[in-house]
Amino acid sequence: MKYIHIALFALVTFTGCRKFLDVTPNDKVFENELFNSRDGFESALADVYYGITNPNLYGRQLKYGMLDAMAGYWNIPAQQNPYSNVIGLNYQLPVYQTMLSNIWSGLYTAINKTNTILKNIENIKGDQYYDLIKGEATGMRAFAHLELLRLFGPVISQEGAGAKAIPYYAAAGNLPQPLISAGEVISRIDKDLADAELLLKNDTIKTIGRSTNGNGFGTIRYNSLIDRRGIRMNYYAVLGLKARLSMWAGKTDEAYTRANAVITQLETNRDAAIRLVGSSDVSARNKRFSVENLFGLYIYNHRDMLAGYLPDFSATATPTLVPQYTYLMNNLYKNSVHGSVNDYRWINWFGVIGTSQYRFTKFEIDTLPSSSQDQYEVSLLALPEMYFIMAEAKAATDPALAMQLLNKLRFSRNLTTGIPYDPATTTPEVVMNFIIDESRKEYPGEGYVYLMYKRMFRPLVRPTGTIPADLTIYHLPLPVDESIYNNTK
Amino acid sequence: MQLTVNWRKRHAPTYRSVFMHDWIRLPIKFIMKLSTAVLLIAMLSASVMASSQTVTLSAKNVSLKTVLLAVQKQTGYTYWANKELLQSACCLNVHAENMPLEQFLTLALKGTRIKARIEEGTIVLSQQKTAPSPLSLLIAPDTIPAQVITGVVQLKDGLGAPTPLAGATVSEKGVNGNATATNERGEFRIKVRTGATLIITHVSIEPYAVRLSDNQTSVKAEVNLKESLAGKDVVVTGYFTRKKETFTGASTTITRKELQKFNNNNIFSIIQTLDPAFRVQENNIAGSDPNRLPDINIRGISSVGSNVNLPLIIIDGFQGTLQQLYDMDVNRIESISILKDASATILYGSRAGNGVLVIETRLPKSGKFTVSYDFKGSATLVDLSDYNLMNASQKLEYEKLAGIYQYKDPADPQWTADYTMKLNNLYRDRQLAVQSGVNTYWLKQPVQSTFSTGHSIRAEGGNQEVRYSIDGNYADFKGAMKGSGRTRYGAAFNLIYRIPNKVTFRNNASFQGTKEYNSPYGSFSLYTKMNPYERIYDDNGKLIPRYNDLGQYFTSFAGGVSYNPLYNASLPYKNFNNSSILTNNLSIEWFIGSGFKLNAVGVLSKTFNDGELYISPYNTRFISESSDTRKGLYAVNNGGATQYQANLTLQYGKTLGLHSLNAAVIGEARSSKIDGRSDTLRGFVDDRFVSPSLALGYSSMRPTYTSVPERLLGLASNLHYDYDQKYLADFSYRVDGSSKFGEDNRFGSFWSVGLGYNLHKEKFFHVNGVDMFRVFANLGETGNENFTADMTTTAYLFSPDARYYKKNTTMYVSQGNPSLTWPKIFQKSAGIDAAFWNQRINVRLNVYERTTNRMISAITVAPSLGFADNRFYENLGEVRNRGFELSSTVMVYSNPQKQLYWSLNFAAVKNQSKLVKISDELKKLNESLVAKESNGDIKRISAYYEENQSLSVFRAVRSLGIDPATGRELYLDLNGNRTYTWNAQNQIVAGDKEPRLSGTFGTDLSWKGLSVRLFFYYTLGADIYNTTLVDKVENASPYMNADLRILEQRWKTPGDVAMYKGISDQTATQLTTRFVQKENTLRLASLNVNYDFMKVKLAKYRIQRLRLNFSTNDVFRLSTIRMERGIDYPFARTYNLGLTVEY
Repeated sequence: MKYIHIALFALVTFTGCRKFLDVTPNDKVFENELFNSRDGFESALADVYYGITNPNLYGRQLKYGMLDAMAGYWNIPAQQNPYSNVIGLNYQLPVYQTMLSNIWSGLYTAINKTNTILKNIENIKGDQYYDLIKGEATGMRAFAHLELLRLFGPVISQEGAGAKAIPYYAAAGNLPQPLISAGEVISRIDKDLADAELLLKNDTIKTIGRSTNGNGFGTIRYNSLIDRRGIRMNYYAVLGLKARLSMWAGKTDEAYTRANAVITQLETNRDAAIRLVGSSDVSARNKRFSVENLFGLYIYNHRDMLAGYLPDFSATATPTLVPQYTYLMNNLYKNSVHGSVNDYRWINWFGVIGTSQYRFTKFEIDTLPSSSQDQYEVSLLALPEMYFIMAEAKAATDPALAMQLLNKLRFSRNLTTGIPYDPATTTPEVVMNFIIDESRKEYPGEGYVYLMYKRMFRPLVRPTGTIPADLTIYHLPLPVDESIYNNTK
Repeated sequence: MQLTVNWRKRHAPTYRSVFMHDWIRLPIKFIMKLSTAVLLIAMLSASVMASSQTVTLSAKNVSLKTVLLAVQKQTGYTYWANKELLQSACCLNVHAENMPLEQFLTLALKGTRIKARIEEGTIVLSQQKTAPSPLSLLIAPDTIPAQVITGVVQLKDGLGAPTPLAGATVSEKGVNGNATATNERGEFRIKVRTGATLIITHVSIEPYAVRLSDNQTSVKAEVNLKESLAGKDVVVTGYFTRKKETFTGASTTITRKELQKFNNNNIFSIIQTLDPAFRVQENNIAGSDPNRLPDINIRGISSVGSNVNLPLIIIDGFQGTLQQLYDMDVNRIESISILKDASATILYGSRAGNGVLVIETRLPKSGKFTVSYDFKGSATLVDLSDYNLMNASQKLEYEKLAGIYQYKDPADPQWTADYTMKLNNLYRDRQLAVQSGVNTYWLKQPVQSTFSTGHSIRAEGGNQEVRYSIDGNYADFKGAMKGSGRTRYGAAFNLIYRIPNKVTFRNNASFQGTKEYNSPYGSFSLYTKMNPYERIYDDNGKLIPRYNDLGQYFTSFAGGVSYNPLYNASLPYKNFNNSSILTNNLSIEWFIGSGFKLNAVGVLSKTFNDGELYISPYNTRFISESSDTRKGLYAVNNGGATQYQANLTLQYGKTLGLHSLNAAVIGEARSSKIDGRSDTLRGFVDDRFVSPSLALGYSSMRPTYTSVPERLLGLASNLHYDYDQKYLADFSYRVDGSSKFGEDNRFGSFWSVGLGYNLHKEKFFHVNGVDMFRVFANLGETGNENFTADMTTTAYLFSPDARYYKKNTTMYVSQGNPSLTWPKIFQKSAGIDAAFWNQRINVRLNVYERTTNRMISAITVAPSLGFADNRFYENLGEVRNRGFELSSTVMVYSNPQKQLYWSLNFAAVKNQSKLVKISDELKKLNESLVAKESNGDIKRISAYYEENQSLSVFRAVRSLGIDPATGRELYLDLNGNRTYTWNAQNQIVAGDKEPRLSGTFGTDLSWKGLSVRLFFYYTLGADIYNTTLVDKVENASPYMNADLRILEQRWKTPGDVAMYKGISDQTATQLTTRFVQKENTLRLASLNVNYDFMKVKLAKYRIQRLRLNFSTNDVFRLSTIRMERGIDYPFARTYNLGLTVEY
């Protein structure tokens, strides 16, 4: 009996001790405190998106910066330009090493953040938004891995799916993961996307659309999860990513089906409000065609990031990145076969000051955020890509359909005259060339073209000359630190 | 405050069989806080049992032992008796049937002189008392009327109840041969004449006289410990005090007496001089900056990182900071104990791994009210002898040779001509300046020789029951850089109230303040680089702000514009930090009786800090800022700390014949919270108005705010046993819980076992000339809790910039590792203490091995893990420190008649660290540690971690020297091939910064009141990477001043056999073995002269004591290598003059 008392007494004091010792510094927020209510998940999730708005990632380098310098959109002098050493595609240069290593660790940091969220998600099991948060985090994990695969992975059409790609982090932990084959990475991304699709099946984007605020009038406690779904990992973004993934994997039929599903669903559900632009959408204030974004990234300080690089607000000072205006005009936008002076993209995105000061003005922001949020969106995945995927998937087997899809997209760009299909001359290769040219017109400033060439393993066509397709130019090296610190076999 | 207690002697030996190891068996882990006392009482009552056993035994001519063993078998009662007693009784005859035990024992022992008692399950046998101990009675000559005096002599040492003084001689004054000695209870009996005076003498006390009144028959004398011995033979652990003789750990105690002799305000250099195992890392960068706290460690470094090897500092039982100790007035200190190994430090458990410094402040003396005053004046002289810079004409000559006045651009002859003309003009101007005698000695511009003063005053007094002291101190130390210094002030009030042998109550309130102020002159290195051909003032006596100015559009040519640091120093400037700490320490000690003592301590302390830094908007650092809103800087910070601690200590002491037992259980709770806030403002329009309220804005969006709470709970127990003070054993165990550790690993347990053997107490060891010879050994495991909460949990911050759409985000800032756990430090230690020939020679030798397991280190990870800064903390690696400490003192000459003494001392210390086990991650860390410049050059040595190497090794590429033909350096690659190209892959371990041996030696001469002391400090065989040669001879920019060797010893023409590369070669010199040099140093660390005036002479001025003192530190320093020291702040020598008066 005595011993029981002693034990009880000890137990009480012991728990008292634990409580006494349970103090943490308040100059920071710690994981266990952050993730015990939905608020914490909301702000941690916001950090995942905010993290990738960094200029090292989608704020610059993965958009108009490094990737589009590589694709040759800009007229970069041999000296006195931060991108002078980029156009040479010599990835061993320190400038590349730094940029690539920032991209690599930036995207993996986003993955680590999502994994931390997912590790703690069961703390709010039963919350009304549990599925949404878990779905967004899972989708973002897939998105970031797919981006890494596209950048640092092999050229699958050449090297096969068995080629070593990148590590996949499916859970939080301290141990580095081994590099796995592209095929394995793809199947893991596919699984994450399937999970996300299921979790996001009740996404409010289906009912209130991509840009509406789901918080009703007079809401006291703002819920960021249901506001402007188009800038978050949403249901349609997951569907679109699935199509992008299939295309990257070389499964064209699957890609066609998946891309078609996106378009069909969006056409049948107009409430989602994601559609190709029409004449009413295109104005000086809306050059970014944000209404087409399946997944946009909202960068509130995008103007600061653009400053010096591209015209951010009708600036007249010479920016670092000047477009290859004449080349783009003569060879693409005003191309005698598929171009037109009426092309919305040409009209809205390019400008001349005086006689020869060329400007790429697509990202100019002329108002405060409150009046036109669309101006702050950077596209991570947009509807046109679905058309390109479908067209490319059918280029060989059904060139007529491919041309039809391409023309549909072109029509929305105010290229009202379709490119006629002629079974005799419009060979699959011709179709492919149309697709590539149209993509080059569609994606200046978007970091799309270099990766497109890489996937297709085609020569990198640039105004300064064409570089033959070669693994050396399409293999971005892993950061040196990765090979030093990750020696998992 | 813990007290000196010798439990064995103070408590009459009433037997009781409470074995302390019974307590140890308790589930100690679960007892925390107050439960300690409750549980102990519960256990005590549980062990009391009724005795109604019977014995059946029939035997003839058996030994007592046989009988007792039989009894034990039947009743389970064990016995306790000493060996002689057992052997003294043989041939017993007993016959008993079912006889009660007590009756049986009486029967069995009939006819012997042995008495038996039963106490709680144990039969305790003792000698029957007959007469008083034969020692204590000596009959005085029976001629004069005499009476027998009985008495007791007790020794007062510290605050506790006085302890009996055994072996003291009590003699009658004036009667030769009438003397006796006190027994082990301090008692004596002596027959003396009526009205005689008793003189009590003993080696440890000053002679003590008692005048007897006519009819007095008993005497109680309380004598003070001889001042020179006070604290000398005890070890203060901070929880309680132990006699050094019975201590089983390695420690050094420094008493006030010794501190006084040094008369030096730098406590750390005193400690290092007296115990070289205590290291103060020489800081080449900070020099003698009074505002830079030194980096200290005990027995070498065991963890990788900055400031992780700092020992725990305990001031009056309460955890203090390095700064607190640094700023403490030496006059307040009673003793400093350096606890080094597991047995000595174990009671600090999780905090003990780096060793412990225990500082006890002075206690009030009882007796007459006394006032003492101490004055200290110190002169500081800057030491620039390590600098060997070029003068104006040498510098110009070097510039010419380095080719900075030549320019050729083949593509642009026009530009070449223009620019060459400008360069020629520049050269001619400088040449003219040199010819006209300009040779500015920049080094002396920012420095000064100073005289600083310090005062401390103390008043104390009281009686047996109440004692008090009050003290105050103020010292303003001015540094060698103009406008820098440190002001320290403090006050304390001490009150002690005692009910003798019942309760002692002590309250100590103290205040300590510091103001550190830094020089407006900036870093000293600015001045070492200035060109001597430049004038400071123009012809009108105005400061020249810009140099090397070729005019508009040319500001970045020819090395660029440089600015006069004296111009910046002339602008309004503020840079100070104040800190003050208030501490109240309350202790109540309750002598419960029967060997128990309870001690409760409560400490509360509050620290206040504030600081300001103001830089004028006209400072040249803002020259490129275009807007006024960004010019100028005003940083304001304030903060503080609140700490409290409560301790409850239950001690038990018992002596049983020659067995002696001391036990203690300690419960401890500690809490500290450090707060801070700082704002940085910018945008000042006019530098005449210096106020934060006149700033145009903040330089960052928000203030920084920190609040770091830390809590600790500990339960410790200690059991000490000794037999006849010969064989000693110590067992300790501590459980700690700390808030700093991850939730899964809050608690850790630590232990130690120590054994000692006092050989000199053995009869067989009574060799002539050996006064003392004791050996000890111990082993144990302690911890180290140098880390922060964000190492264990992932942390997030909010930032105004971090926002996604309308949602502000929690920014992920660092990755935590919840499984991070206590590093364990396993220590083995052994030592010998010996004294020979009447203490003429003292020798101490300690050896140790300290292994740090699960060292906490920052691990760089693959970027694909996505961790913030690509790192997190992990328990990795194992470091082993091995070494020895040897110290000896030899009294070369001793003449008590003439009061002339001369002694020599010598100490040597060696420590070697070795990485025993190292993870792959830590190996990889090497790569990230390499201090690469932005262009990939590697000029700085960096730490290098490799298995079986010391923690202090560094790497470099093997060099064959400078090729006389080309003036280029020739390297040796890993395969032994010669090459001109430097490649990081070819680096080898080039040296070890740790000295092979270091220590002190010195001498001490005293004659009457005068004493002279010298201490030399030496280090042998450290490998040094001579940064001066790299930075100031080879990698120096030709546009700046540099070491003279750049001109004299660099290669100039083919065939030159030179130490240094070609004079016009401006390529970067990277790490090579060419600059690794073996360093042996010797410095006169301290020189003290003390003079104590004779008491007799002082008496007529009613002065009790007057002492004069002169001391100086670092009088000279000899080194085998020539290197610039004191980069940001020069080294300085200080000469102190001290005066102490006591009324």
